[in-house]
Amino acid sequence: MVKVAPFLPELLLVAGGLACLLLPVRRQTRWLGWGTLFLLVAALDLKLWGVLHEPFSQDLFGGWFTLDRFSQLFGFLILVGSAGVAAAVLGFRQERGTTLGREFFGLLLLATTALLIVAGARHLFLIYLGLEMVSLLSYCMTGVIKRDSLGTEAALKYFLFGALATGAFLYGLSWIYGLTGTLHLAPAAARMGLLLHESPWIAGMALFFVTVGVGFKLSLVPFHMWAPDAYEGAPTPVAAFLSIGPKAAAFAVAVRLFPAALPSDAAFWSPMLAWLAVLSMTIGNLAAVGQTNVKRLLAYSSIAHAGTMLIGIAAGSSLGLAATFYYLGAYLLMNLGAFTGVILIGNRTGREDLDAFRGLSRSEPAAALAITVCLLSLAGIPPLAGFFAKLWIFGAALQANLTWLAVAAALNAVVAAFYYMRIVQAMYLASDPLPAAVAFPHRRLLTGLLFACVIGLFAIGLFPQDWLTWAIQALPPAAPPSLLPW
Amino acid sequence: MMETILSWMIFLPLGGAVAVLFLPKGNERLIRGFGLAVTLAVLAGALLLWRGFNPSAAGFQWEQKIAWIPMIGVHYHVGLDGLNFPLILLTGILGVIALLASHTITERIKEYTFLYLLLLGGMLGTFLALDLFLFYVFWEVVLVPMYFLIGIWGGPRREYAAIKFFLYTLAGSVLMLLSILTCYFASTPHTFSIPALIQQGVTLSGTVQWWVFLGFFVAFAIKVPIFPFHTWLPDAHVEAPTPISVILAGVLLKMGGYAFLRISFPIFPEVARGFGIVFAVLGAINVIYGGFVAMAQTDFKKLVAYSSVAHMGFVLLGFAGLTLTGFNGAMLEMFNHGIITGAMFLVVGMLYERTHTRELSAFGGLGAKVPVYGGMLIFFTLASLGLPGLSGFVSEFLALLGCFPTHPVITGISVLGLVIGAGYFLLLLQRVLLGQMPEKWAGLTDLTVREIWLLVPLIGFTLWIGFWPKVALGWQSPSLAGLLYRIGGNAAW
Repeated sequence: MVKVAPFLPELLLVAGGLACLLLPVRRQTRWLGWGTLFLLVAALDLKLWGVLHEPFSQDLFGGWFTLDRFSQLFGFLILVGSAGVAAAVLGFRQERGTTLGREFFGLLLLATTALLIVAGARHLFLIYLGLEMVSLLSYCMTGVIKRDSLGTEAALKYFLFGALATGAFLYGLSWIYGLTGTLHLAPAAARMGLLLHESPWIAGMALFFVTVGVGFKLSLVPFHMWAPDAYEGAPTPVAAFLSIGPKAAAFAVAVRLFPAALPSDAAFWSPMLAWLAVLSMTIGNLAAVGQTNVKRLLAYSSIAHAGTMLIGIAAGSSLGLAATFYYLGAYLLMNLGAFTGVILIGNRTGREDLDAFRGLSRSEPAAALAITVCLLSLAGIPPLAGFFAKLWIFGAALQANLTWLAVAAALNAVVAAFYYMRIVQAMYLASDPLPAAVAFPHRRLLTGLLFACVIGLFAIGLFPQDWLTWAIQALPPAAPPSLLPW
Repeated sequence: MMETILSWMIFLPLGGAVAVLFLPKGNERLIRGFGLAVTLAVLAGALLLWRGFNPSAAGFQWEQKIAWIPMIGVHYHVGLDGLNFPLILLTGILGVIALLASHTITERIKEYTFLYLLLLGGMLGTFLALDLFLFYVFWEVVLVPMYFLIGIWGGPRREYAAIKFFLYTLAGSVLMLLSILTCYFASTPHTFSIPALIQQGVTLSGTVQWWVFLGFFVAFAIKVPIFPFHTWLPDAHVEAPTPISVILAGVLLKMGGYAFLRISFPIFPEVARGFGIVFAVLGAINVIYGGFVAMAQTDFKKLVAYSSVAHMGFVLLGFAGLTLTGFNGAMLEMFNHGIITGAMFLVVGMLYERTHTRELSAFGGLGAKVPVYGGMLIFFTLASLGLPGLSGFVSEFLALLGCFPTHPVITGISVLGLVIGAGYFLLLLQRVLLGQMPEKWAGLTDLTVREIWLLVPLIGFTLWIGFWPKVALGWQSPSLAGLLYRIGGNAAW
């Protein structure tokens, strides 16, 4: 007998998503956006209630799906991200031809549901289904604006890469099934653990293909090529969604696949993840330096951040996993803030390149300040959340004797600071500011959203204790508690 | 109130900075007055500390320790001893003077005051923090307002200078962060507390200790700055507006030297002993190379900036000897350099305000035209080149004296730096004050009363320490002796 209560958030979202798609409402009604936001916040509260009150580790549907602390907390993150995206959409300039109407909200709600499923899945096939559902909905969201050639191109590119990656993932699953006879995560992992020692090449190939699939969702180098084009072509709120939600879910999968499933075989997957991390950080950051389109810049920066977060998983310790979770929370807020800044600039100037930020501090001092805080947090300046996130990651790497990885991450932080400061420079230092502000739509809503992000960044930055406690509780059940450094 | 005075001094400027954001943008008098009130309160705090400070007391005074992130043992931990007290006093004095000198800043006053107070709070926090984590946070907090202060109100190449400063310092900082974390994991129980780390020692092998020390070294060396990490300094100084140059040279550079004494030396005594020769060589390079480069400058401000590099070389030489005299000289040189070079930048700025050029070749014969200005310039130039009877001489002499028993040859070479210093400073006086005055400066006006009063307190300190250094040495000597005992240096010399 499965209780309904634990699924209330998911059911709410599915109902809302289907309603958006099927009910005969006018496309552009603004209340639909507020309704979506309300639904997401309601689901968020329910999730939070579940985190605080539900007993942990309920295996459901024959062990395919689990509601443990881990999935609840990742679900919480995903819902915060989607709620932020919904709020950002409300601030997105709606013009003829660029409307994010009811089908967009439907897609957003359904994609969020799929992400929640991925976060809780403990069966490889369910993970595949969830990821595929997220991907398909993401392709649609990227190309949601009709007759926008850039968006259509982005969606097509995203789709082609995605198809290849999910194909590889599925292929890897077939290897695992063939090798172990099951796709249930726990028994499959147990047998894979043995196989890794008996025939490391064959088992390693299976792991490799699975990693390709996950790496695509995380936009890790070398599976990152889709990200800059997709971000640039997609409507800005969709780019924000792509950089937040799917990443959180994919990290949940990565944790379940590697440290939680194969805790004693770190020697096999840890170097692979470490190299992916270094490549993503370095190539992502170096590529970002030359960008003039801020969305492309943020796309490369998100590649680099994914690499940094991966260090926590490569370290495999409980500090590392907690660090990754903490980082995800901080990243969600600061990236949402940065994309909200792009939306604001887009509303104001109709552009989204670096030059459009010139002189923002004069005409919109409050918004410029908030964007700067988000960018400084992305650059890892204390006492903001982004700094603490980096700190735990560095600490985890040092603790796991991955000193070279910590040094690489530290040097990358300097490169990253350079291109974030370019945006700050445009806003504050530019001597030839754009003409002072004309009125632009949704100014107050966007500024409010920016400040919500800033308050969050300060809150989990200045008082990291609570969030870190949660992050440690979010450790997958399989991680041995003896690893705790405290 | 008295128990928490250190925290008041940190959080008054930080809170004041936030408060400035809510003041009306148009009311510049109110904003300036508010900023001045906050800096005056900080100065009052520093003077209160002076009254209550007992240099020979063991341990820290007005110590405060509050758990911040208990899970990993991070504390908000501040305290005062002989190492940071002179620098707190210096910050208090220059904080007021530089703000008073900010009347030349005429646009975006609100943002300026906000950033200025943020900078002040960050510097005070850096000097007072006794927890590595807290120290790092404040160290980085200083970075951001400085970037904006140079970048918004600076000279023509301000954007380049600001980002160069930012990235240089950040590169050093992230390496320091790795070193801090390594210290944390190498201590049992894990701690970020500087006194606890000193007491427990860190369980690291010799080689790793060297690497960790090096991580700290690079971060601090960039701030000092030590050759070859000094290239950001001339750019930052030349582009920064006058009051910010004063803060940059007067206080910010001291963060590096102070951090060596507070963190590197006591936590890694063995490495510190082995590093003495490195400090000596780099110090000599700073003194000689900085001096020669200063001599080649044609820009007034750049000349003073490079003279800072040379003066910081004396601080390094003072460290290198590992003697009490040397440490005293180094510490006092930091204080004196703050006062004298702060004043030098003010003097440069006052001339620039009137002439809008800093090209030395454009001047000449100003001594007769603006005698008060000429007198001020002569006074601080002589103090800077180390004329006996003025404060610069005392500290440079002590630093060289302290270095001599350990590194006699290098000290001998470095003494040449004094001659070079006299060379470029006298050349400077000649080019500005003597000779034929160009026609265009016929309308030049002398210093206003306000400008004179900005310089008078600095003259007072220069004379006082020059003639009677005993009081200032008395503040720091007991703490430095304790530090030397800890690292096994020569406390008798």
